[in-house]
Formats: sequence, structure tokens, C-alpha cells
Amino acid sequence: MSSANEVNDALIERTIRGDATSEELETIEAWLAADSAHRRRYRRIERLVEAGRELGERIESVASPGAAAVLAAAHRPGRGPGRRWLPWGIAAAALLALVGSLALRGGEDPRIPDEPLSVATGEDETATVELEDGTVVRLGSDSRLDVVGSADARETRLEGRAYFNVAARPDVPFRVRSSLGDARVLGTRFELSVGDRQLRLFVVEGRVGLSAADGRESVEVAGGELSGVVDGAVLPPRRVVGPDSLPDWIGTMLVFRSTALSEAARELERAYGIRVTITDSDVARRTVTGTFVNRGAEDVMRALCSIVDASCRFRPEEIVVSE
Amino acid sequence: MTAPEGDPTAPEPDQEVLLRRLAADDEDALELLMARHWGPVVDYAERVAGSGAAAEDVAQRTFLRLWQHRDRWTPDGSLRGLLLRMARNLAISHQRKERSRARARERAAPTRDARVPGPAERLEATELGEELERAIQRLPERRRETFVLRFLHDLSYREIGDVMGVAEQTVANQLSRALKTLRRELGHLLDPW
Repeated sequence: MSSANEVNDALIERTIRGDATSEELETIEAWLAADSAHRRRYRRIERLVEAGRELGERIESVASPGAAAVLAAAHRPGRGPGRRWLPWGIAAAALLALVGSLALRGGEDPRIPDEPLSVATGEDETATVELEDGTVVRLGSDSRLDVVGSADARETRLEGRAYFNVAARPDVPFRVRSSLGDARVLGTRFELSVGDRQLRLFVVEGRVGLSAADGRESVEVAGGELSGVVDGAVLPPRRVVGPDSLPDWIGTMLVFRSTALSEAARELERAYGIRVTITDSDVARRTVTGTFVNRGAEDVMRALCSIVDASCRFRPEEIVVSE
Repeated sequence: MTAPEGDPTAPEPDQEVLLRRLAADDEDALELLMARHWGPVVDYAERVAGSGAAAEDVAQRTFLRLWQHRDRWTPDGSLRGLLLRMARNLAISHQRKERSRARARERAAPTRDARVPGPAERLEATELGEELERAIQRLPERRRETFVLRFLHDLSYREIGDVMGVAEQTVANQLSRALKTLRRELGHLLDPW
């Protein structure tokens, strides 16, 4: 049950719109009765909702120029977007991945299947997408990722910075092309950052082949090693940190694909410095699929327990999972 | 039964019907969808791309894409959310290109301070709506976008999360912060006389 001091502006706004649950309504009522300053805050948000609605109505009333212009562009040879865009099936998977409930929710959006992916981020944002082969990419700010060719080709092009958690496919390498050099992998985790003149590759786990754009030089970079391309020359790899260390901007990112719960629990232990105890060996063998970005350990574990139909108990610095 | 064309008393066709008509190459369905969604798509694109002219171009390309892939849409979920998401990707692309060009220009030009509205302009903006519009522009990028999608475009947390590629909890957090800022900045206009 929420307490009165947990009331935030978003909850007030949902209450005003009639979207609050009965429990939240009770909380709001108690909170309003407690202090006249609360009532004043509520009224201010009410006025903001009204003012926003008025602005929205003005926006809705802007007249369309008509379909003729769009249809003319559609019929003009060579006109239209030069690039094809994110298949909405992939987009939906990407967005589900963000909320960490891939195995629990179904997509509901209208979608275009079989279209190559293109995702761009603004100056102050990051994005996470899951590609058709199960590779998860966390795209840094002011960056762009394109999937080139068919999804089966597992070939991408990057501008800016991204972290790749590549789905293992021994038969088909995953390739990231850039203006300065290419990375080719079979299944691993790595960060690639492409600037105007230099490319930086940090491998978290596995091995990545790195070659300059002209293909003349190449090196193999292992987990915990850093390499790059500067002025067309490939730098020899050097060990910088232990494997499994993630660059700070990525935050906490966990990707599970049919992963045994016992293995997922070890990942959680490494990522959050907590202990996860699974009391039942049958539960430990059950598998989970999902992607979690910047979620708390409890949130992740609750979702995993829900997927494998187990119960979780939370103690200080330990989570106990049982049938 | 379908209402006769041109019947002013006929109810407006819903999204599902329009998408099916669109898939059947019905140009009137595109006309109706544009009439319904053009304003919000242009407004949102302008807020992301930062220019009115660019926003109209982004909106046109968004509807062009809707038309080009008309045989592939499935009529479930929020079309408004989908259009805004397409517009967002296009607007961000435009913005990135513009920033690259601007950086190149900046290297050859003196730096300029950000423009602050003068007293005369502030005096004109006494209406809450106008003050709110200005205050929205001053919000940090993500808070601004969340607020606009919720308050001006009336999207659910889930739809906003889908458009922006963030979790619903992030939407709630950004919205709370945006509201806190706005009610403080506009407090004098929000309180009753």
C-alpha cells in the first residue's frame, strides 16, 4: 500500500485523468486531507492538465495539406526516403526488451514485417534494440545503427557508439561496418565507438576480429582488451580491465536467451553484487528469455521468477528462489 | 453496411476501417488519416527536429511511408503512436544532419549566446497557454518530449514508452519531474485569484 508521502506529480496527474487505481485513489484522498499545500499542488496540476488539453486541441485542429502531395511524392521516381526503416516487429521487440518483459508481453503495434532496421538517437538519449537474430544493441547518444542487407546476413553499419551483445551463430558471423573499420564476430559482447577519425573497440567477452576500412590490416581482440583504428592503422590490442567490465554509459544490461535460471542468477550476482540462492534444482534448470536495461536486481528477479513460475524472497543482499 | 459517400451524418470511420481501406489503395482513406493525425505529427516533429519547415517535411515523409507500406499494416494498437514513432526517427535523423552542418558552420563563425526573450515578449505571453508553451521549451529534452506526448497528444504511458523507446516507469519519472518544474515555474498563473 502506498503511503501519503509517496505521492508524486505523475500519480496526481493520473488521478485527475481518472487513470488511478482504487488503492492510489485512497492514497490521494488521504494525502489531500492531510495538508492544504497538497490541495494547492493538486489544483496546480489540474490547471496544467487543462492548459495542456487546450494546447493539444489547437494542435489537433491544424489542417492537413491533403493526401495529394504525399501521393505525388509516392509516384515520383526516386523520391521518398532513401533508407528503409526499422521493421516494427523488431521495434516492438526492442521496446519490450527495454521494459524487461520479453517473455511476458505480446506486441500490440501495427507493424511492417521484413524491413531492415534503422535506429537513430538524439544528443541526450540512448536506445536498446533487439535484432531478428537475437543480438541486443544498446545505442549510445547521437548515434545511428543500420542493418544492411537481409536479417540473415547479420550485417550492420554504425555511426557513433554502441554496445553489442551478439547472439551466438557459429555459422554466420555478425559484422559491424563503419567508415573507419569493420568488426566481425561469432558471438560475444563488445562496445564499438566510431568518431570522425578514430574507432575504438572494447571487448567484454569473446573474441572480435577488427580490420581497417581498406581491409589491409586486422587484429583479433579478446575479452578485457581494447583496440582501435587511428588514421587507417589498426592498434595492437592491450588488456585494460578484466572481462565482464562494462563501460559506464551502458549501465546495467542483462540479456538472457533460453538461459538456465541458475546461469541468470550468476549474472545477477556479478552485476549487482548480491547473492542469489535457488533452493530447488528443477527450478534452477528452467530457462528464461528477456533483456533488462538499468533495472534493479529485485525487479529483474521478480520478472525471472514470474517467467519460471517460482517464488522469490528478498533478504538484505540475498534473493532466495524456491518452487 | 457502409454509409453512402458524402453523407454528412455518417459516423467517421474508425482506425481499423481506414487501415483496411488504405491497404486496398483507397486514397481517400489516406486523406482522412492525414486530416486526423497531421497536426499532432507536425507538432511533435517540430519539437524533436526544432524547425517548422523540417517538421512539415518529416510529417509528409511519415505519411508517405504509411502509404508506401499500406498493404502491411495490421489494424491493432495505436496508429497515432506508430506515426509519432516514425516521425521521431525521421526528425532525429534530420536533426543529426543539421547538427553536423551547424558544427561545420560554427567552426567558421563566432559563437553566439542563447537568445533570451525580452521584457516586451514576456509581457505578451501572459496567457497560461503561452507561458506553458515557453516553459515546455525550457524543459530538458526527454522531460519535454514526455510531457508533450502525454499532455498535448494524450498518449498512455505505454504508448509514450513505445514512441520514445523507454520503459513505462521511465515515462512516469520523467513526467513527475516535468510537472514539478512546470508547476513551480508557472505557479503564479496556476493558482486561483
